[in-house]
Amino acid sequence: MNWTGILELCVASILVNNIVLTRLIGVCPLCGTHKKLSDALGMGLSAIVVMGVASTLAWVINRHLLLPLNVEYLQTFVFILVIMSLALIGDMALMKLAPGVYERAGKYLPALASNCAVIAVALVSAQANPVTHKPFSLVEAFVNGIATGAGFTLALVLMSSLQERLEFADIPRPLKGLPAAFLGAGLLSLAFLGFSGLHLLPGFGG
Amino acid sequence: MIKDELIRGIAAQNPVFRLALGLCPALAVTATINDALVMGMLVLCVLAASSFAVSVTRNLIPHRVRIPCHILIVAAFASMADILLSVRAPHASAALGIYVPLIAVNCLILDRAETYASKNKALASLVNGIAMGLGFTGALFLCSVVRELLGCFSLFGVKVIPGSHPVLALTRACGGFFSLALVLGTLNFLRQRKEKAEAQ
Repeated sequence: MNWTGILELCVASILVNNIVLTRLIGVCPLCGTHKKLSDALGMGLSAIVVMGVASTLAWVINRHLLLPLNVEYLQTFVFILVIMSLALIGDMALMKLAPGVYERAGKYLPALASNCAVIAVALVSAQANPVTHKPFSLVEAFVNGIATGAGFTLALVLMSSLQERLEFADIPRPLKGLPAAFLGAGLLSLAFLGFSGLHLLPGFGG
Repeated sequence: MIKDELIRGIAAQNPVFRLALGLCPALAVTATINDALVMGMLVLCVLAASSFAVSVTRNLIPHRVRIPCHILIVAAFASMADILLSVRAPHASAALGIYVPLIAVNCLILDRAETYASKNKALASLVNGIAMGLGFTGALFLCSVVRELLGCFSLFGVKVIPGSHPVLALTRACGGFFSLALVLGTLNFLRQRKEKAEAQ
């Protein structure tokens, strides 16, 4: 895999197939809980790490354990099991080894462990590359995980800034709260629709 | 008692509109009414089965490890639903794509296991699961009616509004947000008007 391919994959995962605003996976943290920008950033940065690790691990398990044994139908079950244990171990290791980091990032780990976006990244890594339409390689799976996490962060940060503005806006009473947040998210998603069909380099995509 | 439970699941505690749970599928697979109903039925089955299973095993599972156990129970049923759907209805399975395996981490199902099924008797949990599943299906149905009617000018794939310029954006990802916001806003408006009338 060359650099241009990796760049193209990043653009595809962050903008064209943004996991939250285009694929609509992992919407729950958008609505309500993370109104502060700093919270959104912390959650997003944790998500980048977790998704990079989960994506790589899922690829390895799928290629070297599930495919040789011919049990691909266990994908969902095994990925959930692995990611959940990973989050628990990571939680404990972080608490012991890096208490400073744990204080800042620890509260996001349990929420991320059962977030559907993380499981979705693992499932996508076991499928075909959206750019080249071939199965992912190990490096691509890792890059895909990181880039999807970056897309998740982008969506979270955009939404939290929007929520901060909505706090002081004069919204009609029936639309207060979730409906207003969804209208804002819908407009963001409409903007991201403009990225569909974006190809940086000829010869990739389709 | 069963009737009360059903009414509560569909209206007063509607999972999507009132509890704001299980929003991913409510936004993602409501582009056509068929997809929405298939998804609703799948969630209903997995929810009822896992509520029952969680409730039956609630005294066997130590309290500290209950959440991982719940996730594994739900994942097992979701995998079964995924495999069954891909064999019995390959077209529906292909249309729903990645959202079928993601039922395993649907927050509605996990929330029910945690807040209801792990504290109540098996039969009550089953009824609660079915009621919540019906409420979820109803919410998906409402959103998909708005999206398909305005986005394709059709209902169940049959054209009902003449004209050739539907709001195409509603069939794309952003349509999920807009239709859910519209339906939610309308329901809020009706409820607030009713409350106001009762207060006077």
